[in-house]
Amino acid sequence: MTAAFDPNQLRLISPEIVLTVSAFLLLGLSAIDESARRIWAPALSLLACGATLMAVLAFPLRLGWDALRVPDSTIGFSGMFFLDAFAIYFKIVFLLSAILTILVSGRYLDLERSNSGEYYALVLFATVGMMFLASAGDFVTIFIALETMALSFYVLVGYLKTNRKSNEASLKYFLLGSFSSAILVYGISLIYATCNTTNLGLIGFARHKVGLAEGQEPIFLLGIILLLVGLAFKIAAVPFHMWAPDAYEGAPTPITAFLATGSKAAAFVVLARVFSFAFLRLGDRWTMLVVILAAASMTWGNVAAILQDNVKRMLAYSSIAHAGYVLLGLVAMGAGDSVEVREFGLQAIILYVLIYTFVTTGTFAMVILLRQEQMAGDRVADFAGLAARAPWSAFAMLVFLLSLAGIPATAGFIGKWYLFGAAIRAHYAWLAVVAVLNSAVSLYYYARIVVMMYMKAPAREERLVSSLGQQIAIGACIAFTIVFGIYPQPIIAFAQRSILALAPWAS
Amino acid sequence: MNATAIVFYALAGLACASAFMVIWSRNVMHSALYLVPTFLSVAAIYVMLRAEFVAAVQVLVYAGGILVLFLFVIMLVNVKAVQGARLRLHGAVSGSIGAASIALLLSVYGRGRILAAAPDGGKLTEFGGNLETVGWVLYNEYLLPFEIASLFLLVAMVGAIVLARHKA
Repeated sequence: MTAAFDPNQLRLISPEIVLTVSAFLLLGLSAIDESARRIWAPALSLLACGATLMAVLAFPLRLGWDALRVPDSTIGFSGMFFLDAFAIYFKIVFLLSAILTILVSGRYLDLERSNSGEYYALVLFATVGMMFLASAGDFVTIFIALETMALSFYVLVGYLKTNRKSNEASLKYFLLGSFSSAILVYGISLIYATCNTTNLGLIGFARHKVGLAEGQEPIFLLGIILLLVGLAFKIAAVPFHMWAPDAYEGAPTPITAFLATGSKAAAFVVLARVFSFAFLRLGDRWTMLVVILAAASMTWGNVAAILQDNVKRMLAYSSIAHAGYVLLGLVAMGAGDSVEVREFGLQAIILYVLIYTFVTTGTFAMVILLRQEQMAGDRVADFAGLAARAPWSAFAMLVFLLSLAGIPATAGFIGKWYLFGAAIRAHYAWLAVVAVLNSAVSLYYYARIVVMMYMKAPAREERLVSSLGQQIAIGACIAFTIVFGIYPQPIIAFAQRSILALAPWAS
Repeated sequence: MNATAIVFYALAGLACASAFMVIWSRNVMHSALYLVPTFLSVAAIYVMLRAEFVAAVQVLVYAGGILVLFLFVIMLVNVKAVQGARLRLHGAVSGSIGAASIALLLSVYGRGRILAAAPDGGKLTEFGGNLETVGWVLYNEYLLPFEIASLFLLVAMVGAIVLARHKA
C-alpha cells in the first residue's frame, strides 16, 4: 500500500491553486455584479496571472535554479508532477501569453458585444491546464490537463455566439480535437499495455533496462506513432492541420492569438518532455516521422498561406509552417549523435516557443487593433494605407512580420538560427535548406501586407481607436522582438538553464 | 450445477434476452429501455467476478449516464416507430457480421483461451477487495489527475452554460 498523502506537496502546485481560485472568484463575481464583466473581470484576471507569475518565480528565487535540476527534490504526487526549471520556463511562457491575451481582449469583446466574466475565467482555466501540462510527468496527468485546456478552448473559439463562423469554427475544432484526443489516448493505452506504467520516466526504464516482453516491441512503437499523431493534431502539423485555418479564422481574434501561442506551446512542452523522458533512446525509430511532419508542415503551410486573403487565415497557415520549423528541434533531439546536439535541439525548441509567443501575439494584436466599430479588419486589403493613417502601428506590424519571416535584428531570426542550426548539427542539412527556402517563400506573403500598408492609398480615413491594454500589449511585444533580436543573450541563457533539468535523461 | 452457475446462467440469459429485445423492438423508446436489464445483469455478473468497482461503474455510467443520453436524443429528435419490414439488406449484413463475431468468440472459447486468461480475484480480496484498492490508488497515487479531472468537469459545465444561455 502506498504512503498516505503528504500535504506539503500542495506547495508544489501553489501557482496552479492561485490561478484556479482566482478563476472561481471571477465566476462568482460576474454572477453577482453585472458591471464586473467589463471592468473587474480583466483587471482581476490580470492580477491573478501576475500573482501566479510571482508564485512560479518564487521557486527559483527561494531554492535557486540549481535545486530545480536535481530530480528528487522537484517530483511530487507520486511522480505525476515535476517542478523543474523546464516546467517553470514554460509556466512563465503560458502566463505571459495569457496576460497578453487578456490585455488585447477587452476592447475587441466590447466591439463584438460579447464581453463577460466567463470569458476571462475560461482563459484562466485554459492556462491552468497548460501549467499542469508543463509539469506533467505521467500520461494520466498529461491527458487530463491537455483536455482541460482543450475544452476551455472549444468554448472560447465559439464565444461569439451570434457569429456563424465562430460557431462553425468551434464545432470543427471540437470534433477534430476530440478525434485527436482519442488517437492520443489510444497511443497511451498501447504504451501502457507494453510497459505496465504511465509514468514517463518508468516507461524509459521499462523499455531500456527491464526490456519489453517478447513480441511487444511493435505494439510499443505503434503507441509512439499514435501519440505523435495525436500531438501533431494539437500543434497543427501537416497532414493533421485541417482544423487550424477554420478555427483560427472563426475564433475571436484574441483567442486565435492564444490558440496559436499558448495551446501550441503546450503541445510542444508535452512533445519535448515525453520524447526526452521516455523515448529519447529510440530516436532512430521516430525521427523519420518527425522529419516528414516538419518538411510537410513548412512547405504546405507556406504555400497555402500565399493564397489567403484573410489575414487570420494567412497567419493560421503561417503558424502551421512555424510548427514545422519547431519540429526541426525535435529532429535534432532524435537524430543527434551526442548529448550536446540533443540538448541544443531541445534548447532551440523552447527558445523558439518563447519568441514565437511574443511575435505572434503582437501580429494578432495588430489584427485586433484594426477591428473597429465599422470594420472587421481581418482582410489583407484592410491594411491598405495603414502607414499613412497610423505610422507607428504600421511600423509595429512591419517589425512583427519581419520577425515572423526571420529577418536578422529581430527575435524571430535568433529563434530560426537555433532551430536550423540544430537540424544541421543533427546531420539533417537538407532539412535546414528546405526550411530556409520556406522562409524565403514566407517573405512573399508577409511582404504583401507590408506593400498594402506602405504603398497603397488608405481605403478609409478615420483614426484607429485603441485601448490602453492593446497599447501595452503591442508595446511589450515590439520591445521583446527588437531588444532580444539585437541582444538575445538573456533569453538564450534562460533557455539553456531551463533544459539542464532534463539533462539526466538526455545522456 | 451449483448455485453460482445457476445464478450466472439466469443473469446471462436475462442479459441476452433483453439485448435481443433491444434490436427486435419496433419502438425506439422500448429499445432503449430494454438496455436497462442488460446493463444491470452484466453489472451483477461483474459482482460475481468480484469486480465490484467495474460493477458500480457499469451501473453509474451505462445505466445512469449513457442510457439517459440515449433517451434525451430519442426525445429531442422525436423518432417515430421504425417503419417497414424487419429484415432488409443492411439488417441482413449487420446480422451476419454479428453472427460471425459470435462464432469467432465461441471458437476461441472452445479452444480454452478465455478461461485460461480469466482473472483471479483472490489476491485483491486480501487487500480489502476491488473497490478499496481502486480507492487507495485513486486518492493517493492518482490524486493530482483526479483533482484536475474535477476542474475539467467544472470547465465543461461553465462552457455548456456559456454556450447555451441567451444573453451575452
